[in-house]
Amino acid sequence: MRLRTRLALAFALLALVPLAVVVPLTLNRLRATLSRELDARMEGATTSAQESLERSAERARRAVEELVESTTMEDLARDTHERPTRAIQADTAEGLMKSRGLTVLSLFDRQGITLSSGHLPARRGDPDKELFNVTEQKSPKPVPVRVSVRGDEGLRNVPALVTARPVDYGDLRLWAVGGVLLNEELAQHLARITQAEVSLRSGEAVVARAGSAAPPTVERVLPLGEAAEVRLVFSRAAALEAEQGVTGAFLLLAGFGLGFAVLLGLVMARRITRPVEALTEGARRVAEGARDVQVTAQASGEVGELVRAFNHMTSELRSTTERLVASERIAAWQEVARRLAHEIKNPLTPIQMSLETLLAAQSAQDARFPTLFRDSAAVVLEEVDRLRRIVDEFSRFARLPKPQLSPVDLGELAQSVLSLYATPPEGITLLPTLQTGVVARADRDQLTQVLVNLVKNAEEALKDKGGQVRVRVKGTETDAIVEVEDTGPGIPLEHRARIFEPYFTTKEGGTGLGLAIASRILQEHGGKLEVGGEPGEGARFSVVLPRAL
Amino acid sequence: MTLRYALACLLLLGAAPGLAAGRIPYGGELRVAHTGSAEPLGDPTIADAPVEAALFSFLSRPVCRLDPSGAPRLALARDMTRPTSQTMRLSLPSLSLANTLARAWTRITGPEAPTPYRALLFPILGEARQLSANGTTVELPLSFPWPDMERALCHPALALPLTTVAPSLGPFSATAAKGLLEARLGYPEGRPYLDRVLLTPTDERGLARMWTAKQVQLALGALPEAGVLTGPALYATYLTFSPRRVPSDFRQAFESAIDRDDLTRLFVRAPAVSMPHLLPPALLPQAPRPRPGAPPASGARAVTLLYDGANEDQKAVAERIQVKLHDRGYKVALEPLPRPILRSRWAKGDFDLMLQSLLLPPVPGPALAVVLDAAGRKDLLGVELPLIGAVADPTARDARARDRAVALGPTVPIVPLYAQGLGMRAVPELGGLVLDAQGLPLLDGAYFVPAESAAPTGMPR
Repeated sequence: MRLRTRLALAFALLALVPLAVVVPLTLNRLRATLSRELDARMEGATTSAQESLERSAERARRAVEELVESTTMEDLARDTHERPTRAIQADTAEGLMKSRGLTVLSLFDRQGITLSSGHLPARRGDPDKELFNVTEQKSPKPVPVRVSVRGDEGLRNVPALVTARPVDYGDLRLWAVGGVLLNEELAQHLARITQAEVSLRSGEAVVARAGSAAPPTVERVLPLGEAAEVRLVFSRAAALEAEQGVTGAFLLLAGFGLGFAVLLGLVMARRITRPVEALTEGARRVAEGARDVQVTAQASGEVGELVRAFNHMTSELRSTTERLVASERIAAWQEVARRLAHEIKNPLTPIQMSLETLLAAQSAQDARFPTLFRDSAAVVLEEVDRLRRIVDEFSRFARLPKPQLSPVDLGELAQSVLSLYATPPEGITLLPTLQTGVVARADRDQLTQVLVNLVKNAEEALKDKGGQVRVRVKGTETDAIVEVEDTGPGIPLEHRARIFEPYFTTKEGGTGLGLAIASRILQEHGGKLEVGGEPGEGARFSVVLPRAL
Repeated sequence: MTLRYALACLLLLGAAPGLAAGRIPYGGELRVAHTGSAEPLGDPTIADAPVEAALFSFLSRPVCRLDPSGAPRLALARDMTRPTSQTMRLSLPSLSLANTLARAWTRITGPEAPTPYRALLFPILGEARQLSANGTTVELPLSFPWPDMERALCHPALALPLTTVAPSLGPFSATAAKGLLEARLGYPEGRPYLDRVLLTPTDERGLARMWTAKQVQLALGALPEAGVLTGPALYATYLTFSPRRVPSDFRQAFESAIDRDDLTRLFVRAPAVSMPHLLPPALLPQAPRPRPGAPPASGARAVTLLYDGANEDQKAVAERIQVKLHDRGYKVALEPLPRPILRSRWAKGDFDLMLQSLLLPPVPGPALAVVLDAAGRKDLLGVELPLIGAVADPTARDARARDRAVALGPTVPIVPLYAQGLGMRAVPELGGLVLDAQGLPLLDGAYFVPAESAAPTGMPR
């Protein structure tokens, strides 16, 4: 990981750690506070709902008691006593019920037969056991029961809080059972005062529902005997929203802090690492061979000292290298001159000796002079020819033309080269293994020269004992390869490093430029010439070129 | 001779005050309070509740009326004859009345005014669709012998609404003032004794209050008490059900759940009687069948009961049915509808359950025809009516109709519930007030008895 990245991360971590510690703590405190507040609100609302229910029931109880003590009821009882079938009509209870703000009222006879029902007039003439049972409980407080009322889709049971009171006239006893329905109206009222979703339930059935509570919710239940229960559902959405708001603010803060820390880290890291990076780049360039590298980054302290030392070092290195190159160049020329002189000097000795022999024979009037002249002239001509060949080779090495590249099928090229050796010397066998379709971009003439040189070298290596010359053309995904392998004595390991140098040869009469020229041609093609094989078992030269697709 | 004449003249002159004292006096305004609709109902097939039919009868004129004995008496028609046994001929006072009558009866059987009262015209060939007037005569060709045709045509649903331009249409005519009827001086049968009739709509309490305060002389829709006249209970209410939409054991469930006597006694405005058979007890006085037991319970079943939203009795009965069928596993939704829409839904067969109230004619045969049509079994009319009409003797024919009503009762998708009549209270000073066989009051001969001889003469009790 780069220093700059590490520094930026360190800054970010520095910014995150305090947030990571503070945010959970703050959120937990906030959550606890909101939860306490919601609990308190729910407690208050539940108490309000309870009190509202009790108030409604109490009002209904007072209304029923007022009804049974009213003159209206007294008149009704008297009329019923006198005219049992006519006094109480189907709508009698409904009028009494509405005028007293009740939502349940049934008038029963002593046997529990409904004489008139305000909440369900059609019940008239029937017993209503559940409602009449309230008369036997003699409870001073309103009693929760289920009563049947009309709904849109038929009858439905609705819980109610009712009070039963008798009305006596002579031997006649009527019962007035009245109260309040726990219906939609009440649910709406409770929902208004509690700010909760209120559902009135009778068993599993929801009788009325009002208000709404967005999830998530918390529930409180007010049981009303076995008849019903009031369920208050409070929304935690507001608390959750507040919590989420604070969390969001913290996250935003953390995000900004993190971004700022990273930015600051990057800036600081840049200031710190810029000279280091410049030094690294300078070192890399030096490694690549550049000699005039100078680091210009501004730095102070130890890094500044390092920059100055580096610049001094590269200056020194450049001057030293220049001196070394000049020395090497001189040494190379000296070597070439030495070798060239050596090569030229070799023919000069036979020439000199032949000419001295001729001069001595001519001075001595030797009769063998004509013969000697002929032999000496032949030697001189041969050595001159050798000198010219040396010069030609040297000239060719020095003026090797730029290759003209075109796609060349190496299999086909190798086949044409091998056709020149259709009749190899006795004891030598050519074994070609040529893969067609291996194409490389190359100068056909120069590559032919390389292959001819390699095959010729192999033949010369086998001229004493004979053997086999294997020529292989093969291709890899990226390379086109021609291998020339012989079974001759091979190349000693100590010679392998020098065989591509000019004028290095182990052969009798060799110029030492063949492999040097071949190697240089392949370099010009972007390829290379490799030598392999085990010493004593043969040599293997591999021509490796980039494969053309 | 001269003396003889002179003595005769003296005798006649001496008798004149006595004659004058015995003559029914003219004049006076009859104040009528009623529990019917404040707005007059223009369609006789809709105005069939007792009070509304009574009000409508003041402003309409049937071709005939059935007198208390049940015999038809000509009203709008000048003559009603049978040239052949299967042809009736009605003579009307004018060409326009003949045409109006033909059009009105044609409309009753048409698709735009669906009503079970069309069954009254069923015996007419083509069911009155081909009716046309020939001058002042309307001929009614019958497709089978139907001796009760004359009595059927007296039904108020077949009456013509009064118009001010036709003096022959009735003794009273409406005026611009709301609820005020003026005596028609040019009425061919003689002007009525009363100068005018003032109609005041109110509710039951208002009716009782106005009666107690002596603000009215005639109260229509009064509860039956001492001194209250009640007409025959022919306004019958049925529960029609669609056999396709209700379970097959619905009738058993209903009969087992509903006690007609309780229903009538506790939830229906008096005067009312429970009706165990297809025809009201006034036409078919037969004991009820024993009530069946409840069918085995088979899950909750939801049905919708349509009823007339303007009819308080139907509302109470519908709620009672809802309660009692609830015990049999039915969830009954109630849907009040205006009467014309209710009839339209009936004609289309678009209902599960429907309460229908019909003013039946006081003749068993035509009444059965109306009930069968109301039950959606119009197909039975072509079978049952010829069999009934084939009996020549009126008493035997009525007996045949009653028998068929009893036999058909359990098979048709209609359940009889109760029948109501008109409760009416009149001051003793009002004389000449009679009820026809339909139970509707006739004001044609009503008059105020002079104070010194106030006696309830001519008023049936």
